[in-house]
Order: sequence, then structure tokens, then C-alpha cells
Amino acid sequence: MSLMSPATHKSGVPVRTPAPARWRSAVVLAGPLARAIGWGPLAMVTAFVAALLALVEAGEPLGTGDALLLMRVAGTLLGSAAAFALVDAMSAQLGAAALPRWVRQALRCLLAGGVAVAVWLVAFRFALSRLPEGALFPVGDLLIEMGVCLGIGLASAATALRYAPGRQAAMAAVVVQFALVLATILLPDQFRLWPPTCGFGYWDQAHRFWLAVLPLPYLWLGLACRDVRR
Amino acid sequence: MTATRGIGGVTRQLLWFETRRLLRHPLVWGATLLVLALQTYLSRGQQPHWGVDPVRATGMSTCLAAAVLVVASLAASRDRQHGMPESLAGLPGRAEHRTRAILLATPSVAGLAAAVAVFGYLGIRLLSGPGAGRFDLWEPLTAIAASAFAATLGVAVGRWSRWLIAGPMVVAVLGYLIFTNNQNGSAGWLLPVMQEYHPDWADRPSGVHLVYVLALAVLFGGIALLRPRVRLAPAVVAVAALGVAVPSGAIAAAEPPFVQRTAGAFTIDDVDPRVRDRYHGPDTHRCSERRGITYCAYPGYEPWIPLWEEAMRPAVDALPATLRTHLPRVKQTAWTWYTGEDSGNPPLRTPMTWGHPDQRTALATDLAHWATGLHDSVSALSKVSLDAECDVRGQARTLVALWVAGQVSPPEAPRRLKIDDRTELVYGARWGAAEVTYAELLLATPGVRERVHAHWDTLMKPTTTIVQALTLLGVDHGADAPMGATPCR
Repeated sequence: MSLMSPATHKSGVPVRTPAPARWRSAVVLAGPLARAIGWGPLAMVTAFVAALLALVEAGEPLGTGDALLLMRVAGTLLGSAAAFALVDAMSAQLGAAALPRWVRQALRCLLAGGVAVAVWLVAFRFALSRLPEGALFPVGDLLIEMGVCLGIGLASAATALRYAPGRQAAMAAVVVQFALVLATILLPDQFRLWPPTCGFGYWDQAHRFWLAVLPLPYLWLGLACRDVRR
Repeated sequence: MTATRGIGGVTRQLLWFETRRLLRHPLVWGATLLVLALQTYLSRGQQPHWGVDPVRATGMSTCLAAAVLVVASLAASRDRQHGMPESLAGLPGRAEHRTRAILLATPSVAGLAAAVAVFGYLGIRLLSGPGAGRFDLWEPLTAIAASAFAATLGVAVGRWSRWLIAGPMVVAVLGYLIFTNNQNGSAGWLLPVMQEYHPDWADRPSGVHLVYVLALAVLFGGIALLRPRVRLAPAVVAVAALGVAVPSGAIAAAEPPFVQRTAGAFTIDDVDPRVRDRYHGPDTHRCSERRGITYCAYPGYEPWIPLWEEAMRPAVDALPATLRTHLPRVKQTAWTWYTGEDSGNPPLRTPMTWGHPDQRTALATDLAHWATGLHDSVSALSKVSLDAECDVRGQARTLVALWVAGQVSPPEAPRRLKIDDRTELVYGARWGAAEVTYAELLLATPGVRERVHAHWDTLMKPTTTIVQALTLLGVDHGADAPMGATPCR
């Protein structure tokens, strides 16, 4: 395998690569990793989101409430789909690689997360074009929500993948997101994290909270991407 | 052992394995617990309503069904995981045996979990006070059927789709459609769960809908079995299930949507024909007397009469004995279909749900406004013109009304009161902060009741001011509470 150079390890113990060299290797690795990632789930969710946004209330302007709900559905699903990119069929055998596991996993997160955010932004642009003129639909606040969902998806899948190999472990992203959505969607108004109307009620408070928790899933993701064997 | 018995044994073994696995599945039982806890939390403070509660619980059990769908699709796609095909090739049993075992195990355990959630919730409701309304057994059974449907659909998705994400995507579509069911009209009946319902709506086509959901469950079971190998039996089962699902779904969806009340004049012709007789017929109420007051409830709502009487009693006791002997009857009103046919008389009304604190406030305020004549003044004016407004500020009777209602809930500035499921009420009589402050003062002063009774007739005159009243009642007062420009007469 091209990722493993025999010169970089002695009797299975990884050799520490200097940081600049590691950056170079990471850039070189981006191409092969992009090919190694299974893009199927993301492609499928992208097609699904496109269909959903095009078909709901087709032919008439979209209501802001519906658009909000659809963008949230899209955000959580994209987060779940991106988590499948973390599945590395060879992870058990790759203890001795030129690049530590966390760099490889971080690269996978960046590639898949970047694509997920890009898809979401395009979907947002499309939803915005279907909204009536002048409707309040703030991209920043919604992107923060999506960022947290994506982070939670990636982090839970990364954690599950430490304990079980294979694609099914990535479903932890779906399960954790599903549980969190259920646990937060029906809370009383003043604690609800998903205010149903843009800019009204507890919207600002909720989004200050979203912004505050944004780093947490990524911190968790960083911990979950460490080397499995020390 | 013959080959067939051997294979039957494999299915049994696999069935046992899958059942045990699901019976211990944290996601299934976590979702069950969540449904039970959330629904109990959401209905806190509300008296049980046997018509609405099972529908709401079934709606909430969609969360459990979503978990079941994901778990079932994962179980069905397990044998195509990394390395599994090679390992399984050497073992007895083929994909169809595994599918059959999962298809038998998941709906049973999912149905059991849904039964625990829904009947557990109804059990909690049974213990939480007297309930009203008509119970429809098909409604909680639909929750069980919907979970079984989610299980077979999950197996079918897991069998037919290459991607694990397909299960969550199906959940997203169905979840979105069910979540927005209030916009779907009659088409909502084509979804496995139709949670849009209110206490004064007509009966639901719940029986035929249950048949529809069960037929869908069987249909997707058949479709799942067709994936490993096309065989006659599952094909026949799927076609037969489709034959049941199409007509039963069509019958359920043929139910016209409930007429929504819109702004503007609402007459008897606008009332949904299915409930016209129930709420506007000649013999709609069952009346009974409790401690001198007649309460008229719709059939099935009689268990709430003691609750209404308990809510009103402190305000009734604050009235002079002469008034107490001829109180108007308390009449339950279905606000969705209220056409104003009785012009606001009798003035004491109870709604179709019970438990919100505003409902007690409204009932006590109704009584206080009737006793002090505010109700008659305001409604007499509204008969002249809907836009006409008069002012009750500064009048002694307004203060007394706030004091009477204050026996039940603390006086406050006029606001919208939530008197039913979807109905809010604003009183025509408006008062200000000064009246509220003096009413609080009266409530805190001992011996006021006897003095109010002694001076009742003077206090009820629209010309008596609050300052005069406070002097009569022997209560110290500070700033004056001025009368409005157009005082109510």
C-alpha cells in the first residue's frame, strides 16, 4: 500500500515524523484518501436533499417554517452521511503508517465535512431562492446549528470506530444525532434549541447556546481521532 | 435430521438470536422510555382525555418507530458487512432464512415496545385523575401496528439498499411528513401515524386506518423476502397485502378534512356536519346539580363536573347568599364550533379540556363578571355595535369582580387567557393596574367578605367609585383610580 513506506517504521513502532514533513505528507495523502472514502452515503443524501427541497410545496413559494425544518433535516442527515467517510477498512492494520491515525482521520473529516458543508450551503441558496422576497432566513445561525450537528455526527462515529470496525459503526452518528434531536425538540419554549420561527421568541438565546457548544463536538472529535494503540 | 428440519432449525435459532438481541437493544428500549417520559411530561397538569391522549401517545410513538426502523435496517444489512459474506458462506442458513428470522423478530419486539410505551402512558394517565371523552381502542393499537410497520419497512430497506444511510433517510422523509401532518389534510391518513386531532373533532376512521397500517407492514415484509430470492409465497403475500392496503387507505383518506374555523362570521352551516348534531342538537348536554349549581356537560365529560365545582367553589362562597341561590348554570362549550347562538348566555362556560390554570381563572372571572353585572353591561353594548367599547375602570364593581375572581387566582391585568386546546379569550371589560393593586389589598385585608356582602347593592352601582368603595369597606387607600371616558352602565 502506498500509504506505508517500509523505511518509516522499525519493527512495527511508528517513527515520529517532523511536523513540516507531516504537513507535506498530509497534502499528498489528500488525493488517495479522497479516492478511498466511500462517497455513496453523501451522494445519496445530496440527491435526497435536492429532491426534498425541490418537491416540497413544488410550484409555490416555500414557507419559512417549512424551509427551516427542511434545512435542519438536511443538516442532520448530511452530518450522518459525512460520518461514513471516517470508516477505514484497513485501520486495524495501519498502526504502522508514515502518518499518525489522527492526521488521516482529520483529513477524512475535513474532506467529508467540507463537502457536507458545501452541499448544505448550495441547498440553503436553493431554499432561499424559493422563499418569498424579503423573508428572514439567517444563514449564519443555521450554519452554526448545522456545524454542531456535523461535529456531533463525526465525533460519535469516530468514537464508535475506535471500538468496532466497519460501516455499521458509523451509524453511531445517526443514533446519537437522533437521540439528541428527540431529547431537545420537545423541550419547553425557553429551553428549546430548535426555535420554529427565524428571529422570533427565543431564537437569539438558542443561537448563543449553539455558538457556545460549537467547539465541544470538535474537541471530542479530536480526542476520538487519536491513535487507537499507544 | 432431514435437510428441511435442519433449515427450520436454523430459522428458529436465528429467530431466537434476533429476538434476544432486540429484547436487549438499548436504542429500542431507550426510545420506549423516551416516548413514555416525554408524553407524560407534555400532558402534565392536564386531566386525562380518553379521546385525545391515545392519539397523542400514538403520535409520539413515531419516535420509537423511527428507532425501530434504523435498528431493523441495520440488522437486515448485517450479513453484508465487511467480511461477513465469507464467514456466512461456510455456515448453514442463507439470506432468506436470516431475513425471515429478522422479519419475525423485529415486528414482535417493536410491537411489544410500542405496547409498553402507549399502554404504560395510558396507565399513568388512568392514575392521574378523572378522565373524560370516548376511548377508542384502535388508536393505541395503531401505535403497535406503526412500530411493526417501521420494523418490516426497515428490514426491506436494509435488504434492498446498498447504503446504510438509506434507513435514516426513510426516517427523515416519514418523520417530516408526519411532523407536518397538520398541513396534509386527508392525505395524512395515508401515513402510518395521523396525530392531528382535537377533543371537539369528529370521530376518526381509526379502525380502517389500523387495517391499512397492518397491511403496509405485511406488504414490506413480503418485499423484504423477495430480495434474496424471488419466490411465489412472499410475492402472493405482498400482492394480497397491497390488495388490502389500497382500498383501506383509500377509505381512510376519503374522510373529509375537518373544517377549520376561520376569521369572520361562523354560522351553524359552517359547523362540520359530522359534529353538528353532537354540539348543536336539541339534547347535547347531560346536566346535574352539585351544591346548588347546575353543571351541563357533554356525554362522557361528567367525571369533570366535580373538578369544575372545586375550581369555582371559593369564588361562589365569596358571593352574597341571595346571589348564590340563583346562579346561572355552567355549560360546557365546544369552542371550535361555537357560533354565538346563545349570545353569551349562560355566561359560565367550561371547555373541552381541563387542567390549564387559565381555565380556572376564566371560570372564576366569568362568575365574577356575571355577579357584578360587568358581563351584562359589556354584552349589552356589544349587541348595539361590535366596535363599541366601554370602560369599567374606576368602578367599585370592577374592584369587587377582581376580588371575587381573586379567590381562585391572583388578580392581574387583562390578558389573553388560554381557555381551551386552541382557544384564547379576552374579556370585553378592561381594567388597569390601580384596580389590580386595590384588589390585592382587599384580598389581604381580613373581614372584607362580610363588609362586601353588607354593602353589595351600593358597590354594584356603576356610579360608585373605587375610592367610595374602599371607604365603605374601611380599607385605607392612596391614589385615586379614575373612571374612563366612556364608563360602562
